[in-house]
Amino acid sequence: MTGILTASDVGKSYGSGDTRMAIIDGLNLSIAKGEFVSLVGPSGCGKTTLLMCLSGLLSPNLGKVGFKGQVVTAPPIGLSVVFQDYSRSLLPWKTNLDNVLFGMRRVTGMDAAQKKARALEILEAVGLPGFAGHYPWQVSGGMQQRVAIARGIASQSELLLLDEPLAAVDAQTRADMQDLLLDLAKRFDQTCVLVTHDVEEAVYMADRVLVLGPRPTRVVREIVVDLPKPRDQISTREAPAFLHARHEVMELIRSMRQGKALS
Amino acid sequence: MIPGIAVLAEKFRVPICIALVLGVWQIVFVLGVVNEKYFPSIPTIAVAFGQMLTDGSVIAAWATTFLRALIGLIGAALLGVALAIVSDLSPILSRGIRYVSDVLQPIPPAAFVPMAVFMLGLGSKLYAFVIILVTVWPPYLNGVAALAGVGPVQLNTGRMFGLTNWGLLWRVKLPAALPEIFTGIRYAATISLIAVIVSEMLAGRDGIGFMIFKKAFAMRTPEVFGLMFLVAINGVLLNGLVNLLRRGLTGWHMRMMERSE
Amino acid sequence: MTRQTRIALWGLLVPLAILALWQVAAMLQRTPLFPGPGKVALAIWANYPVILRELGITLLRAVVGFGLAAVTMIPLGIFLGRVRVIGRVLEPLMDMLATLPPPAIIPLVMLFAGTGDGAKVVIIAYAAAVPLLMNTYEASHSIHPMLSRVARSLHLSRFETMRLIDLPSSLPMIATGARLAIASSLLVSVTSEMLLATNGIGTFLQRSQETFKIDAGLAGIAFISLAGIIVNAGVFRLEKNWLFWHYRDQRPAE
Repeated sequence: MTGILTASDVGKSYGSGDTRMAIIDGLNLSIAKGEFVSLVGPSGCGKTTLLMCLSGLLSPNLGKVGFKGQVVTAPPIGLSVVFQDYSRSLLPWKTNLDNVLFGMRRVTGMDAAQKKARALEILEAVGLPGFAGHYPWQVSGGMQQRVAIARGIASQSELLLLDEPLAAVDAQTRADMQDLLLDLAKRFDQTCVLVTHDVEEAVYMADRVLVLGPRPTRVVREIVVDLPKPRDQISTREAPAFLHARHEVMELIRSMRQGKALS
Repeated sequence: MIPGIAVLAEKFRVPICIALVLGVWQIVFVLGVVNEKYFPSIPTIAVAFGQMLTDGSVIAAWATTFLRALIGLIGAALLGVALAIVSDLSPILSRGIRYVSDVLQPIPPAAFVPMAVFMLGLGSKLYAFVIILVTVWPPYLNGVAALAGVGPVQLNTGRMFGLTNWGLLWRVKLPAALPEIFTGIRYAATISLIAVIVSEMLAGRDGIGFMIFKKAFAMRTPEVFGLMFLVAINGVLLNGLVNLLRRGLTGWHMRMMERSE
Repeated sequence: MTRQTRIALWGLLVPLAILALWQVAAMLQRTPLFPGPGKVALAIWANYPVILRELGITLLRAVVGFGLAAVTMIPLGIFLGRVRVIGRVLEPLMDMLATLPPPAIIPLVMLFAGTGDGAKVVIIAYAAAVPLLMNTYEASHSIHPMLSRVARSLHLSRFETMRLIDLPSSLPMIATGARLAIASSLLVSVTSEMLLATNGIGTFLQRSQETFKIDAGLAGIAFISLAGIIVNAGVFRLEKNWLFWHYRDQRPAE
C-alpha cells in the first residue's frame, strides 16, 4: 500500500492470558496525501486507541504503521495530534503565542523572529488575531481548541490527526470550527484524519469515510463522499449525496449496535 | 520481561525498601567509611534496641512522649475547630483571631520553651501550652476555609428543610467541612510530635526527646538509633489513630473520593 | 470607611484584649520572670541590635540549608515522579523519612558532624528535604497523562519533558512543599542553636533564660515572628507573580 499514512494488519491488545482484551485486530488503511478522511464507529470500538497507534503514541502488538514510507515507532516529525481535551493539552503557564511557539521547538531553518512571525500568521489564520498575548484559560473552549490546532499546524505538520477535536465545544462554535478546519487543511496543505462519533460531522468534512467495526476493530467499509468543495453548512447537508452517505454509515453502525445487543 | 519485573517490584516495594536501607547501611559499615563509634552495624543496633525494649525506663519514656503528643493533639484539634466555628459566626472575631494566628504561627515551638519554663514549670502545663500553641493552627486554618467553602446549594437545601442557623452549622456546615478539617488535623499530628520532642530535649527531664539527647552525649550511638526508631513508631501510631477517627467520621467522603478516581 | 476596613479595625480588638489581659496578669504577678507587654516593648528597644544580628545568622543558615535541599530534592522528585517504577517502589522509603520528626536527628548529626555550622546546615537541609521531595514527587507523579502525550507528540526528549512540562506543572505543589520546608528549616535552625549553643537567635533565647532576662527572650521571639511574617508575605508575592496561571480567575474572553 502506498499513501502518506498506512496501517497494515495492525493489532493491539491489552493484558495477557484470560484477561487479554483485543482492541484492534487486522486493521488496514491507507491515507493519500491531501486527503481528508473521517474514522467513525460504534461507541467503545477503540477509535482512540487506533489514533494513538497511528500517531506513534502507542505501539501496536502486531502489524506496522507507516508514515511517509517509514515505520512509525514514536511520534514522527510532520505528524501532529490535536486532542479532544484542549484544556489539558495546552500549557496554562504559557500564552497562546508561546503555546504555538512551543510546538515549533523542533522546526529547523527559522530563527526566533521568523518563528514568531509564522506563529502569529497561523494564529491569525485560525481566527485568533489579537489573542496571542492571552493565556489559554482566559479564552473560551472553542478558542482554546483553535490554539491547539494552530500549535499542531505550526510544528511543520503535513498530517493532522484529530481526536474528536470538536466533541467538547458547543454546537454553534462547532459548525464554525468544522469550516475552519476544512479551510486550514487546504490553506496549509494538511492531510487530515478525523476521529469522531458524530456521523454528520464525519460525512460533512471528509473525502472518504472509513467505518470501523465493533471491538476488536478494523475497517469494515469505505464510503467515498462525492460532494464538491468548499462545503457549505446548509446546502451540503441537504445534498442527496450527503444524505445518502449519512444514511449508509448510520445504518451500518445501527446494525453493529443491534448485533452487539443480540449477541 | 521488563513490565513483569516492574509489577513484581511494585508488589514487594516495602520489603525492597527495607532491604535497600539495611543493605546500603551494612555496605557502608563493612567498607568502614565512617567510624564504627558513630555508625554501628545493623546487628549492633538490633541488639541495643532489643535490650531497650526490656528496659522499663525506655518504655515509660516512650509512653510519656506518646501521651503528651496525643493529648496535645486532641486539645489543639478541639480548640482549632472551636476557633474556626467562632470565626464563622463573626467576621470581626474572625479577623481578630487571624491577626493572632499570623503573629504566633511563624514561631517555632523551641522558642517558647525557655521562656515558658519559668511561668509554667517543667510539668504537663508546659507541654500543654507549647504543643497547643503550635499545633492549633492547621485545624483552625483548614476549618475556617472549609466552613467558608460550603456551597450555597447545600446551605439553601438546609434552610428549605427548616434548619436554624445553629442547626445549619451542626448538620450541614460542620459535616461538609470535616474532611478538610481532618487534613489539618493530620498535619497537626506531625507538628504535635515535633513539639513534644523539641520540648523534651530543651526542658530536659523526661521523655524520648530527652533520652535521645542524653544517649547522644554519652556516645551510645546504637541506642540513639533505636530511640529514633521509637520516635518514628510514635509518628506512625499517632497518624494511625487520626486515620481511624477520620474513617469513622468522614468515611462517606473517602468512599466518594475512591469512586471518583 | 468600607465594611472591610471596619472589620479590620474592630478585629484589632482581639489581639489588643489579649495584650491587655497579659499586662494585667503580669502586674498582678510582680515578678521579672513574668514580664508584661510593656516590659517586652522596652526590651525590644534595648536589645534590637543584638537580636537582629543573631537572627541574621539564624536566617542565613536556614537559607543555605533550604537552598541545598531545594536544588537537590526538586530535581529528584521530578525524576522519581516521571520514572514511575522507581518512584512507586521507593514510596515507602519516603514515607519512612516523613514519619521521623526532623528535630530527632539533631543529636545524631551532632555525633557525626560536631556542633559547627556544617552540622547545623545538614540538619536544616534534611528538615527541608522531606516536604520538598514529597510534594514534588506527588505533583510530578500525578501530572495528567495528556501532558505526557503532548510532550511526546511534540518530540520532546525525556529531559526536556521534565524541564519544560513536569517542572512548571508541578510548581504549585512544590510551592506548598516549600512553605512547609521553610517552616521546618526555621524550626530546626532555632532548635539546633538552642541545643548546640554557639550563636544565632536560638542561642540568644537560651542565654536570656539562663540570665533570667525573660523580657529580652520574648523580644527575641517577637522578632522571629516578624521574620516569619515577612518571609510568608514574600512567598505569597512570589506565588502570585509566578503561579498566577494556577490561581487564575477563569474568565473567558468571549
